[in-house]
Amino acid sequence: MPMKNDKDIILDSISDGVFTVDKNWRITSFNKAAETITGIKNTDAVGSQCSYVFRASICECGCALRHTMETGKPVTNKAIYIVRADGVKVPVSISTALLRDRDGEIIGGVETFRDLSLEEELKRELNKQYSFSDIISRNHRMHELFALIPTIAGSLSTVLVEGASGTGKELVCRAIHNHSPRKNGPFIAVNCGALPDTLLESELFGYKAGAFTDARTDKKGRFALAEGGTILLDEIGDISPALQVRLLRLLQERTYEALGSEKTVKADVRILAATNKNLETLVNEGTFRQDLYYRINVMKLSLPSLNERKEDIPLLIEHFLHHFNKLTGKQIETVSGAAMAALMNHDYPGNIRELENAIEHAFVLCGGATILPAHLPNHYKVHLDSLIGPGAETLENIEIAAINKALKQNAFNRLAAARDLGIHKTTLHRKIKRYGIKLPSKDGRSSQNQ
Amino acid sequence: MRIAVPVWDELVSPVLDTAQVLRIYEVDNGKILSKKDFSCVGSDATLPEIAVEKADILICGALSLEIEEKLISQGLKVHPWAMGECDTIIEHYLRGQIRCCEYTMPGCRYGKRRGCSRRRRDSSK
Repeated sequence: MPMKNDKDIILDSISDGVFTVDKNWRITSFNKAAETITGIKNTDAVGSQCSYVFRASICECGCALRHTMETGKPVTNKAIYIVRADGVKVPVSISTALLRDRDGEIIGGVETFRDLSLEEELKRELNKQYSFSDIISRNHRMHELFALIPTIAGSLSTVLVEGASGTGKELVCRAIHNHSPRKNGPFIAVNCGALPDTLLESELFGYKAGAFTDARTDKKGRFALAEGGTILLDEIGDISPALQVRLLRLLQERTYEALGSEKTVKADVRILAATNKNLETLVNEGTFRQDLYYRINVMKLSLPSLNERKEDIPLLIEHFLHHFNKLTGKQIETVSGAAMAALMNHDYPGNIRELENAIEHAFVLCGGATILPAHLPNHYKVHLDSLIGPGAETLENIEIAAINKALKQNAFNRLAAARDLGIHKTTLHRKIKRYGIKLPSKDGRSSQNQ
Repeated sequence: MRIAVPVWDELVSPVLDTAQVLRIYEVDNGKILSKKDFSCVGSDATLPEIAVEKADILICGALSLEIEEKLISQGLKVHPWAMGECDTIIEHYLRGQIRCCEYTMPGCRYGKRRGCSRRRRDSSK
């Protein structure tokens, strides 16, 4: 075995993977950590073309080492993945620099890389704590809901889920079904607001042949299809008074008749109802029956709007990036600081669905690995301009503006502001100190304590 | 027979998962009859989907386990871990010399000791 020189001994003592290339992209050195992370021996790697050894997600489009060799600028801590010989994708963070000889001539490049598998694993474990079924949140109100769902799911009681459009009412209902003893039965969702009254009645209860013109054969209703499972009556606040009476009877007696049938059928169905309206107000206005309201309001869950759980925006963005990457085959890794600020400062009348649409819009326009403000829908850019002023789009300015806004919105209560910003209160305190943000002598904490 | 190869600057793309152009070779009697490039940029289909649609065999560089399993389940014969100039690789494949060290990626050249070699044998069953 040839003796190792000082340079090799030093490189092998480093815990990060290191390899160097010549100007023809041939590997000239490959340290011990690089062997461990890639699973390729030094003897196999040295002399081979780097892209066939490193097999990184950026080799073909956006090679960091090529960028450094062409511009002379180093790349630091860029997150990518490599494909190991067993087909496993290994997340790594890379940094690059130029290699020069004694005369200052460029002779190649050096790339160091760190295995991020453990960090990614820990991140996944942490994310598990922030999710329940398919619902993702670090909001305390949502976590109270997560704790309640298994208990609610175990009973057969009717549940009313209230929340604005796009807050995830159907996801919560699916979670209740999936945690219930009926989870192996069907889950049938009916949007009561989407169908005219007569059609909705036949859709829910079914009909016999000859019940009305064109009813040539028997048709099963949604209640029959949901037998042994769960039915979700979405937008229940939109149903007519006549249908409210039929539903009330079904809820009281657990029986119904299909249209045109005299036979009473027993319904073994768990009923969940959802609405984006305030049913209590509808009851007071006389448009929703009080007795039906009490029947469906056995258990009530109210979902907060996205505005009330802004700390979830970064988590949801990460989730949508993953989702759309899978769907589109793209490799978008992150959202720039400015784009994140624009997304954080939007009001979201359409809630999570609106955020999802904004990310989908960005996926269409984004050709690189990072979503920029230019990729977002126009009304998000307006928010960004009002936040930092046009032309002043530095990360520091955006951060200062976002912190000021969150503090003002929460009457300078730092804990609440940190929650809105999706950061820890200690991080917020450090940033306030670093940027010299002035706080009033009397803040949100003092007013709360009074 | 149609053979697909992800191509990058006339070489086999190092990673199929992120490759952008797929070259389809029409071959018969051990000879290349024609070749045509398909790009997935601006297309609704991903590169692996184009390969399944247009080819019987895929010769490629590195690829992740999940994509390889998906391609095999869709009936494509997959020969991964190839490297080098595309036309030369196809000629070697037609001569039955695809597993030659010279055209196999580092770390995948030692038969049973390497995971990728085992998977390559399974996928060609």
